[in-house]
Amino acid sequence: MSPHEMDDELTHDERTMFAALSREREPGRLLEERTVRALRERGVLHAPAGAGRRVLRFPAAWISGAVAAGIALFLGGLATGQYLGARHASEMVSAVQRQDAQTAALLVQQTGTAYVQALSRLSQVSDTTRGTNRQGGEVAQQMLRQAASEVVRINPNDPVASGILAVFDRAGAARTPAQRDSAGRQSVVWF
Amino acid sequence: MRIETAPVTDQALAEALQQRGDERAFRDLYARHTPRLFQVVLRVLGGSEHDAEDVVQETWIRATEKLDGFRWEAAFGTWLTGIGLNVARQLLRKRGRWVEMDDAPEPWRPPPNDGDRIDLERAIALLPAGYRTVLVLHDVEGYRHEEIGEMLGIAPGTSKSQLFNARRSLRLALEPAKGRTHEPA
Repeated sequence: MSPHEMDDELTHDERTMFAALSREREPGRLLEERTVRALRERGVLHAPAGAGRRVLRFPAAWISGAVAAGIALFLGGLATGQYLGARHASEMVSAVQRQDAQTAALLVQQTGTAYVQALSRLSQVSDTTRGTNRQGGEVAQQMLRQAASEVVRINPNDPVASGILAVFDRAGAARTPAQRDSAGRQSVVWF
Repeated sequence: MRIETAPVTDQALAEALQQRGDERAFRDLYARHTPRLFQVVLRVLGGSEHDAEDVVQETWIRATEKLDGFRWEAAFGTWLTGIGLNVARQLLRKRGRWVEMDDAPEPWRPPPNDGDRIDLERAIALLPAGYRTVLVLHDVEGYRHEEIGEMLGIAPGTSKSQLFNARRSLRLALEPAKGRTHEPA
């Protein structure tokens, strides 16, 4: 092929077609980041100072206001917490106290029932065991007197308890010294 | 009054990149030259965007490594395109699609034509890689045969003969199929 033969020129239409072709084209968006990363890994690139960080600058007045608002918010939260905590604690104490009173009343009821049942049982066996019967009776009286004392302590104007204690006092004064000594030797078993 | 500021030159950006590893300078250079580089490489590779992106990335890596040796006697874009062409050629050679250039025509058959005209972009993509490269550089990008010879490491005369064969093949691919069968170029 001679140089003359190779010297063919583009036609006008062909030139127009070539001129219409795009000269630039954007690659995928990730290519730049991929390339930058590869160059960083090779130590060619160093990230610019502050890259990836945003430095925010605030005026002094804005900072003061923000600090004051923060303190107010903190103190408000603290006071609210204390109020709620105190209210909760007093409610807890009241509940415990209520629960204690209910428990004590239930205990009185249970032990009172047991006391009466024990006396009933004692009366059934009184014919065969005389000594034990007498001892049981004394214990029952002591318990009755102690119970009456406690009821008077709860309610000093309670007429029934006051009457029981008065009867015990009169009976005690009427005893002979020998009977009092005998009573002092009683071995009372407390449960 | 509006004050125009002179754009930072490629050389100033390249120096910032070289001396300080300045990432912003690199991104500026990348933004300026990548769209053109990508389009050239894409055409040379025959339209594979994925391959073209890989080639562009590798081109920038090699360019930053060789920046010390660049004397600024040619335009930065031309130098970068030369590197990109070498990377693309290596990829094509690796895949067995690159035949070393000489004055002899490459074996090539025009595509089977079903009567419809194909557009220029498609016709270029169907050319053999060597023809396509020279045609893209000369007729699309406007490089002279001496520049093409330097970029591809071939004689200017070889570039001319490649272009001649490329144009002839292109015309065959573009002409309507009037009784044309598969015949070698």
